Amino acid sequence: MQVETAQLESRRVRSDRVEHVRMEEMATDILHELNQPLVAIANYAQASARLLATDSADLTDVRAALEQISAQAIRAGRIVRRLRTLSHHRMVLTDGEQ
Amino acid sequence: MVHVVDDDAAVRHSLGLLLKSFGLPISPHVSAQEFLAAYAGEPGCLVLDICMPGMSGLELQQHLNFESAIIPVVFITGHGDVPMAVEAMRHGAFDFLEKPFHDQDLIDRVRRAFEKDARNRSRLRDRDRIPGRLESLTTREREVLRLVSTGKLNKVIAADLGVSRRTVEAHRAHLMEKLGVQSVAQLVRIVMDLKPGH
Repeated sequence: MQVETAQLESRRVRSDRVEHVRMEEMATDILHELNQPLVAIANYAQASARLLATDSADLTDVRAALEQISAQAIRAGRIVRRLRTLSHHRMVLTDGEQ
Repeated sequence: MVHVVDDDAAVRHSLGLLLKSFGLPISPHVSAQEFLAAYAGEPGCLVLDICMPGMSGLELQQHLNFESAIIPVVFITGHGDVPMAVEAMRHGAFDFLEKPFHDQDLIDRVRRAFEKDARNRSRLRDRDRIPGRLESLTTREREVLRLVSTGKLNKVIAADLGVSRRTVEAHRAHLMEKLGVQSVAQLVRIVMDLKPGH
């Protein structure tokens, strides 16, 4: 009986560890994905400022950049929501253990 | 020309606009394969995402190294890619930048990469000119060149060839002029470069 409990316990610890690693991998992927729109936003904003500083600014480019800044911010927001779902999922898992 | 290779459309497009705002001509590519298909060895530099599906930035770098391409590579990396960036530098990357970055940091690196590319190309051009210049040397001048490049002094060369020291000096001045070099160190380098083929 005691042996069985120990086996169950070690199996549980192992599957928790697997789950933990999987979660970490997912979080890393999502963080990498979140970085992309941030990079784009920084680039677009810096490009717009520079384009506007010139005498012959191409406003079509600046306008396209501004539209992209908002699109990329919305993209980032969606990724954050996914991350939140993931961390919520994790909290539920942790609660279940207690 | 700045070649930009990044699989993320927004990153690629925004990078293109940023470089354009500095007045630099750019050529965007969605993948390493697409860049390889389009690139014909023109001068410029390569701004390369390190982590891409399909052929990664590191694999593209290795491919270019294998093909002896001289285009300088500036890697752009996401956070946490530091070990990969270190590997890229070890394989001769010109520089790397962590995303996101300040436009000035990007442009500084791109400009320095352009300068590096120009230096590489001028060195290659010089090297290509050497065989023709060597052809123009007389037999005696070639002999003097060989002896000078082994580190022998003029008076020793004069004794070896049974001519006066002044004659050796004249040959030496002539051959250096014909080869377009200013120092013995440059002469030695030319002779060493020749060794494998001759």
